[in-house]
Amino acid sequence: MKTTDRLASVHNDRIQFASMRPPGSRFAAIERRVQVVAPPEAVRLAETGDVALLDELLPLLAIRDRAFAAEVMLSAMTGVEADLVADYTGKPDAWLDGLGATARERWIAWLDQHRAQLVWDAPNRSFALR
Amino acid sequence: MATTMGFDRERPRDASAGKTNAAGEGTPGKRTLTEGLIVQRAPASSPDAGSDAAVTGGTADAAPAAGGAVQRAPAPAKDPDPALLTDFEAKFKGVAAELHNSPASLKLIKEAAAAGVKFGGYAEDGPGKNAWAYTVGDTIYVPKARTDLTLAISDYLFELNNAVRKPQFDKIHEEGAKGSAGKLTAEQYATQKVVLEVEGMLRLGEIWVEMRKGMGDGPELDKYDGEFYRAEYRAYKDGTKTKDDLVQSVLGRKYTSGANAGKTVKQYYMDQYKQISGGK
Repeated sequence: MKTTDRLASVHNDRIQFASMRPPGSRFAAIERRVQVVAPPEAVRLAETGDVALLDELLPLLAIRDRAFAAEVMLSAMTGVEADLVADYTGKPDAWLDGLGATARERWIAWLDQHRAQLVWDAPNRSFALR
Repeated sequence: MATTMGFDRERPRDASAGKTNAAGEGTPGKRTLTEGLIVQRAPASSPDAGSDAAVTGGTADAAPAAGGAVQRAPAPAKDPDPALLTDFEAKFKGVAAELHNSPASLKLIKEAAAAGVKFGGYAEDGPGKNAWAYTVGDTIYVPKARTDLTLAISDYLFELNNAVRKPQFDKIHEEGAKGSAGKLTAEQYATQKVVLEVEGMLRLGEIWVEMRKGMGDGPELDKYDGEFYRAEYRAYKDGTKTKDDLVQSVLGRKYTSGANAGKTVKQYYMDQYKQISGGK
């Protein structure tokens, strides 16, 4: 599978993200949200609300130098696995050697199940399930 | 699509993500024998809020020494506040005084500082550019929109609490990813994650109870109780609920928004176990 040019900024060495407790959360630690904060191209991409982008990110999950960045993008855009991503802040290698090994299968399965239900929630800069 | 364990390219990363202690942080204070007789301290590893009986600071005149004569221990040298706290105070004047009312909060701040956590300033001016508290790497940000200092403190403590628990969450994730070959079932995985959550809640509750006392403990402070899990903490301290009761309560809670809306916490984490273990 070929990756698209618009994903050039999605790279482990470049991606930066914030994690936060969602507004109104009743949980102290287990509920987190992820927001891409750099590089600017990736920030813009993550906020396009383009469902096709989710599928375009899947091949990157098989490329070690880009897999964690793709995971961050997917998580930021869907809210899925945000607690996992947040816990691996600053430790992409640990994620790559552990949870990263099956990330592509997990996202393929999740998208197959939920793609048709995804609607863009602009205020939250994320997809929500219809 | 066989991707398991396989990436197209491997490239070693440097180890720059290692956390270093701030100079002077985390050095256990030497105590004199006299101090040791008078001041009882919580065990350094006390993980949660179950340590009310322990006196954790500033009580050198608490008890007479053996033999009846009152001996005052020399005032212990005060550790300077870590930059994690002074930097927060620089942006939100008055927070340090409130936090000093709570030995439990100072302990959390020191733990976080020792883990390399820093305060980065206002959330609006930081990389996330939004009015909500967040963490980027090892740096936390609190919104200046939080003009209520107590809420600014709660934001700050939530992010610290999250930061200090990451290594424990990582271990659970790593074990969960092993599936049946590891030490955890799906239910145990969910429960262990929620145990960490409840310990975090109780720790925030303990901090708030201590802070309230320093603030006069008046009813005008009740509006903050929910934010700090005071009810859960009091139920735990009163003995009306055990930690396990609280864990079961959280496991049964439903997410009301986001990708997990409608699921209970237990369902969500049992599903997560299956997903990260690949069903093995």
